[in-house]
Amino acid sequence: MITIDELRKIAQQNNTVPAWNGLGIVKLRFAPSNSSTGDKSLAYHFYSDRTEANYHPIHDHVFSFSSTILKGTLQSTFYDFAIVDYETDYELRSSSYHYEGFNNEAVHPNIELYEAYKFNTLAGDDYWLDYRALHKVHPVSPNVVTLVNKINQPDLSVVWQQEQFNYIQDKHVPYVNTMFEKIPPDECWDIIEDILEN
Amino acid sequence: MITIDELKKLDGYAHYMGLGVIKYVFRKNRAYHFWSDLAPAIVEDIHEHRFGFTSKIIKGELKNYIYDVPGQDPNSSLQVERGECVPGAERIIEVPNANVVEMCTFTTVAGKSYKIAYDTLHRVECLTPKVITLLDKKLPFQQENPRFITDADNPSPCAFSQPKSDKECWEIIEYTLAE
Repeated sequence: MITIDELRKIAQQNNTVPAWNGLGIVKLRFAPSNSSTGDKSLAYHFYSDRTEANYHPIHDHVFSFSSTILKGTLQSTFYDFAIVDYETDYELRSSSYHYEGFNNEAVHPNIELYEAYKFNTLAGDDYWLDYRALHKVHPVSPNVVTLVNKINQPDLSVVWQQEQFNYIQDKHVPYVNTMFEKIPPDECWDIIEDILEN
Repeated sequence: MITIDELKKLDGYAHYMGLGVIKYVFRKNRAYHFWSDLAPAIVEDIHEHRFGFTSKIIKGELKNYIYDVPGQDPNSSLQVERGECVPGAERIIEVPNANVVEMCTFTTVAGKSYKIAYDTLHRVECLTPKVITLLDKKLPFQQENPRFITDADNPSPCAFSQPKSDKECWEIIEYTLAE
């Protein structure tokens, strides 16, 4: 398992700090050591009760990725939906990163949602998923660490495969932009250290 | 690990299915699946099921590949067929020139389970020489005619076209159970 000192060194080399994402993850994004572009196409993800989500919709991604579980057990649940013409509890929305409300638009105002498949990945396992796969993840063990690899170019960088990501909005749950509420970097480091030690 | 004697007491029936598995079906909704080199696959089509299920890995390691068909691709010879999985069944071609996209892969090790809905297109690959799983089907069946992805240029044989005798099935089960 990587140590806190090694992580701090990676952060320093990449001129970055860990950041909390409202989906319930502290992320440390970094470039592969042999990258010519410096594109931060790798990331350590840390989950614990201290990284709790403020909003956790089912979502897809702007890139495909693989994830290797380094510690703990992570559960992934995948969903399909049917577009219907009557009022339902869920809608499919599309959004872009970075800006509150920016291009956050309804794609299908009424959908029926159902679970397609579900699996657990344990320390040492990995999984891969396409950017269009609608899913959510849930830490099954108290502390989980994963290494996410988004590289899809020969120069070890990542190119987005769709402009915006999609998410399922439960109409009874208020929307929260998961990118904007922040845990300060010092607290993120403290959380990471806690996860690594326990 | 269950023994051959315990299996026989479950009063089920064993049969070979051309996806490369001996199935031992018991109590209507449960089945042990036995994969080994003695039960080679004669067909490896991506498929869905008539029922959702949970599969627990009893021995070995199994990799799942999940697919979707978001549309058509004029250069693809793949097609989505729908119909019964029985010898001689008529199937309709639901999507010719299907654009088949791999959506997810994951591996499940002994002692762990995964869950799949009836209409999830998938295939599995054994990562160890012998794999045993215990399948729990959701009853009643949720559809009669599941989908299959086939290659129009290279049609597969029917998965039931090369049956094995009861004796052969039990020999393979015993072999797969052994170390």
